[in-house]
Amino acid sequence: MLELQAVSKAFGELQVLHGIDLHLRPGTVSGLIGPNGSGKTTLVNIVTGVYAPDSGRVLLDGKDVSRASADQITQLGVSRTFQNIRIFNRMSVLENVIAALIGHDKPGLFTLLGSVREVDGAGVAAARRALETVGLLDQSNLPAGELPLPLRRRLEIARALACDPKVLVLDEPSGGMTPAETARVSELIRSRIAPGRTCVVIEHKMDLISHVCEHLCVLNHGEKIAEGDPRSVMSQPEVIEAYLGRP
Amino acid sequence: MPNDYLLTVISNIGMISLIALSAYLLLISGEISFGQQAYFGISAYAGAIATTLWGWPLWMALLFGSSLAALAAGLVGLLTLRVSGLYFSIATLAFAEMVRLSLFKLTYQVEIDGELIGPNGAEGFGEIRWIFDNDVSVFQYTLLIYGVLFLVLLFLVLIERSRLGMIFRMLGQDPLLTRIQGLNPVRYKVTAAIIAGFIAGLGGALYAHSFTYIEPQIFNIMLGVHALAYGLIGGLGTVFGPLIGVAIDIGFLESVRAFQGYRMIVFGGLVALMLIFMPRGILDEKRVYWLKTNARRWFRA
Repeated sequence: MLELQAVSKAFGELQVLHGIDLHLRPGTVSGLIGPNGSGKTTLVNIVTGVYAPDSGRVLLDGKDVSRASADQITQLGVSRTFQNIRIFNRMSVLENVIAALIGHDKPGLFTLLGSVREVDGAGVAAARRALETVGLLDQSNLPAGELPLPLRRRLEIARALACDPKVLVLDEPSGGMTPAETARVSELIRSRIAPGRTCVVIEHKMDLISHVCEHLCVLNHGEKIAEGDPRSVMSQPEVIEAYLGRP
Repeated sequence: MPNDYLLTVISNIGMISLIALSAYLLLISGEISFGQQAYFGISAYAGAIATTLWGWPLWMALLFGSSLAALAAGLVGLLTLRVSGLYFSIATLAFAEMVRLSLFKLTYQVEIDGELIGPNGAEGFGEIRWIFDNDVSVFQYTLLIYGVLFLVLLFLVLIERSRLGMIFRMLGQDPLLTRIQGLNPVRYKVTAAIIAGFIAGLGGALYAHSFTYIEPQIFNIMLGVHALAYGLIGGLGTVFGPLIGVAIDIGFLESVRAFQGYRMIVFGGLVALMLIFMPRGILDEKRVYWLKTNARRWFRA
């Protein structure tokens, strides 16, 4: 599945990640937590090909993808959402999900010139299924930019889910949500998205992490300070210190 | 039958609509090109050379000129679209100026019926006599222009409904997000540039045969700026947006006597106002969505 070996990354003088090792267990939900600036999003950007690591390797199914571009990584089966929501605002909700399917299909010339809705009925059906999974099917014809924040987050999840990825990376799926909204998205991930899927969830909200994750990794100042079962990890002094400060 | 002046205005709207559509295609793909006049000019010269000096039929000259324009657009795209944004805009402007200045140096004259005919640097290229040699009236040529424009519009409507069109609009909104969907932005931006170059080329070749005389100065930056502005005024939500922009400028501001001498001031002001109050033009995506939704309801009722 997905494995990181001694991954390091710096931006100028700032060393953001120091030799991170990580092994995702197939079919489980792993949490990635850490204070602001700990390197979580940089790690996700490396896993998804947005940045290349300065050193170390990213392996997907045993194949080194450290130098692969983001579009190649997606083609290999890694989908993601963003901490700062990114959707195609001027497209409909359904088109946002179809967008993921178009990219995943590696379209050839004749496929490209075919109608979005008619060429691949199975694709549209898959898009509708993804929207149904996250509870957005009734809004499928609305302009995506008009959705409220919680539904935009769900749309991102639907888009990432549509291609049935090998690895699903959710970057702060409850960012900006109220506790009630967070509880709903947490239940959605646990009951409808996570089962049987390899997921990475990056979050600050411990309720969500403890509700959905079976494995937890903690970063602080670009270093991995703990990894393992969520309950035992959260009770480790280094983790408590990273989050709450030295007593 | 309309008089010749009116026909000239109408045919002008048709030909300029083609360069406006080429700039529009790049705009919806997220790139601002200040250089579509280069492809218009390349094809104008190439098409005119093909009919006047080589004796080719017009349809072959149109394809030849437009293909050369598309090739040039593809090469410029390959070299510049990796940098994208402002760098691409400046690169297109630089290329267009390079083409215009090169046309000042282009001399390729052939003796026909005892006269030297062909491009002659700053003096331009006259005697593009295809419409006279083939006894084509202004009205017939206007029909031809609108036939080509219709085919281009049909092609672009089909593109907009296709996956390729959707990818262009995805790129226009968020290139990184498009990449994260598994699509290589450079490949599709170069594709958009090639199609846009071909469409601008069609306009250029038609223009040369309509006016029977061309010179390098016609293909200056103002033509490129206007081509961009038509999409921004008319709207980026549908292929028909740029046509509205052209109709407002050439059909109204240029043709109504009251605006003579003030056309550019009024046009510039209009562009500024549109960018402030309707940044994606009259027919933007929201209005097009509203129109489509209501049209569907109306038809059902």
